[in-house]
Amino acid sequence: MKNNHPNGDDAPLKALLQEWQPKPSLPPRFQEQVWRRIERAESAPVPAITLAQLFANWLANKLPRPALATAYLGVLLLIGASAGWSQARHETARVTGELSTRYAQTVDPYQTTAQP
Amino acid sequence: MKRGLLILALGVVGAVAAYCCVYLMGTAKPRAMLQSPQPELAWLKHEFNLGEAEFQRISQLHAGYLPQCKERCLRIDDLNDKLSKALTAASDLTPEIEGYLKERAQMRAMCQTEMLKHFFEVSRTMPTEQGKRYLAWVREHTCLREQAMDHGDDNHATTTTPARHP
Repeated sequence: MKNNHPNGDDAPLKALLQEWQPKPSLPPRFQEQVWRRIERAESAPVPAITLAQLFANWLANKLPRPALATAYLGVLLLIGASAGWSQARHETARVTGELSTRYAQTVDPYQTTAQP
Repeated sequence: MKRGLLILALGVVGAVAAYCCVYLMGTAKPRAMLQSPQPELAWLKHEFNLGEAEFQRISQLHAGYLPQCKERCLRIDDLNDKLSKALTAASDLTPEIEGYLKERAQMRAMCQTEMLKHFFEVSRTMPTEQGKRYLAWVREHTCLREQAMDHGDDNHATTTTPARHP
């Protein structure tokens, strides 16, 4: 059976293909349309990212990083401890003041009260 | 995302735990004072760094002083009532009113004298420096610090409340 696609033995066809230079013609007002597309793309509104999306992104990608996670935990522990310390000081001062007044009232029935 | 949420929750739980731990540690002393049988004496012990023996002695002094003090207060209240009745009925100064006024003033002076004796006795039971601090404190916080006289010119007037034990 004769081979219809011989490999490299059709020299005239090969030469002809090498000489062939296609000259595609651009559609009418091609350049103008290209610039119009660019303008449209640039003026198109950027899809808005909500705060929730930003937070979710931060939660999924940034927070699990060891350095940030450690810093986050450290800061929150510090905030909690500081708030506890401050509240404890306030409470201690309140109770101390209350008890000192009670002692004074116990030993001295002539306690005075300031009037506005 | 799950890991992030876990870290977030861990941070919040950690902050709450840190708050509770520090708060409970920081308020341990005042809570112990409030739970003691006599919180005001527990405060005295804490404030003036009293040892157990000093505290026991001061508690005894306190327990001995209070009934006498209450008795004097009752006598002053009684005199107040009598004076009030005499004033209601009178249209002029009577010897009876004058007598009640004198008797009440004497009773008040006696009350303050006994109070001062008690303060000195308590201060002597304390270590010297704490005793001085205690005397300074009672001078500042009891009726030993006389109120300024007021004829209504001053807006920051003070008045003396009736003698009353809490």
